[in-house]
Amino acid sequence: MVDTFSILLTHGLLVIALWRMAHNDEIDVEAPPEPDKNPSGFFNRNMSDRHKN
Amino acid sequence: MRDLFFIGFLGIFLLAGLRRPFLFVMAYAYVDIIAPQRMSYYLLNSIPISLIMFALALGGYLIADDKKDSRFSGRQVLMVILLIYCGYTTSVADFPAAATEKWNWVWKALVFAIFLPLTLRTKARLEALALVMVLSVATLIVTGGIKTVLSGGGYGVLQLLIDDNSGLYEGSIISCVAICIIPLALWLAKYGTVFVPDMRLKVFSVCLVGACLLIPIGTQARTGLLCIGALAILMLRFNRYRFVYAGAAIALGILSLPLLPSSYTDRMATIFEYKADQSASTRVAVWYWTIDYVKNKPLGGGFDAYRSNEINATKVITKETSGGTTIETQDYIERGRAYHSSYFEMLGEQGYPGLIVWLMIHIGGIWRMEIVRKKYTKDHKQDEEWIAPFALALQNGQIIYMVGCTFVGIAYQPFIYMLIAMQIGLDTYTTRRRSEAAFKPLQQRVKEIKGDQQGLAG
Repeated sequence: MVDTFSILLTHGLLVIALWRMAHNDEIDVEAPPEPDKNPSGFFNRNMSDRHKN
Repeated sequence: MRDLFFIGFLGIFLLAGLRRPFLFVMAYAYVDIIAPQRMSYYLLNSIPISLIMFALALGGYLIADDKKDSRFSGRQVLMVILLIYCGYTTSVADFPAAATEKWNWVWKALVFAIFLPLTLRTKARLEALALVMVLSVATLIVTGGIKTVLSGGGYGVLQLLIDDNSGLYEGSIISCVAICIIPLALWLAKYGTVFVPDMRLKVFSVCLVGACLLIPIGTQARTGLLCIGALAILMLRFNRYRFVYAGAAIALGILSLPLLPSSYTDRMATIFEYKADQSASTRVAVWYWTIDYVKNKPLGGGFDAYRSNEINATKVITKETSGGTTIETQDYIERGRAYHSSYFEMLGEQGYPGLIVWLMIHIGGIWRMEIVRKKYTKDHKQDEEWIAPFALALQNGQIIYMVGCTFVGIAYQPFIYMLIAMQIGLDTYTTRRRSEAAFKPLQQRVKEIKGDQQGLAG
């Protein structure tokens, strides 16, 4: 009885999840990230040094 | 009836996989965790279901998936080295038949862990794996939690779905894994998109975490209590009200003591009195034996090398007589005692090279997740809020495993390798997205756009 309840509950949720994932295009293709507004790393250091001077 | 249910469920999984081949990978993860064929009586257990699912997962990736965003990381290379090394030690093992039997499932767990990160190239995929892992393990945890509330459980008594004491169905292993998934379940409850956070999800998550905490009580595995201790300490790390939290946790622990079965509190007391407990004292003796063993065999003895050990153990016999209770001790030799520790399992079976590679894989995971967490805590865009908490959940899960596995031989447990694969997936995903988003001077962007246009025209 307890085992059946546990199996039905989790597998029911898995079926809902599968349905939603199968219809979610973002599983396969994701929108490109928002471009950084500021440079980073070496280029950023050069820019900030220039601002200081 | 149960057979038909699981066949129907796997059928749904396969249909979903036909629509999105990545879901074949999830189907294999599900089969590997829950092993539905073991719950089957006549139909599923006659089909090599695990092999079919792996073939579909690999085939789906090779034929239908976009491989442009797949990345291979340093820890995957380490797993390839560990796989080759385990293959070598199996070929020269002390007990070839037993070693081959263990090798037959270990190589599959390692190959899947090496392959899995290649498929985890979007946020939705990372979440899908976390969700499938949590819900699959929840099948065992929900039943275990309810049975503990109803009957109190007992060491080696609590039956989880099937009368089998191996893999995740073994008490100490499920105790460790149940606590490991708590951070991941809490992350899904807050940042999940498949099940959007609402009151129903909150109630389910609280009940699931409660069931996870009940598993170590139901199985009466000491490992589970240590894992709960590790989780409590880790939760303090970023808690703004840590003293209130610590006080509440201690108060809750003290208040729950009268509600715990006496057999449980008696067994937990032996954590600090290991010499009085036969199981724990022989375990320590096996660890000393392993250290001596690798002095002669530093490259390890292959899987199941512990079978050659002979441990001097002492049995405590309590006798009730008319004059009162007498306690006698009896020395005897115990043969072929298992390691009961993943660290010593690796040392004895794969020697120092295997242990070092295995530690690099795990410590590397904790370290990489710390880097990702720090980076995205300090600086993240609006749609990247989920990254730092996800890295923290994966890191906490692994630290809990590293504590728990000190007292259980689960060095090759497939579930943990899936957690590692998820860490690698997150790591390569964030690295790729950062480079895609990186600032580019206007001149370079114009060049790229021109190049794309020419490509289209050509």
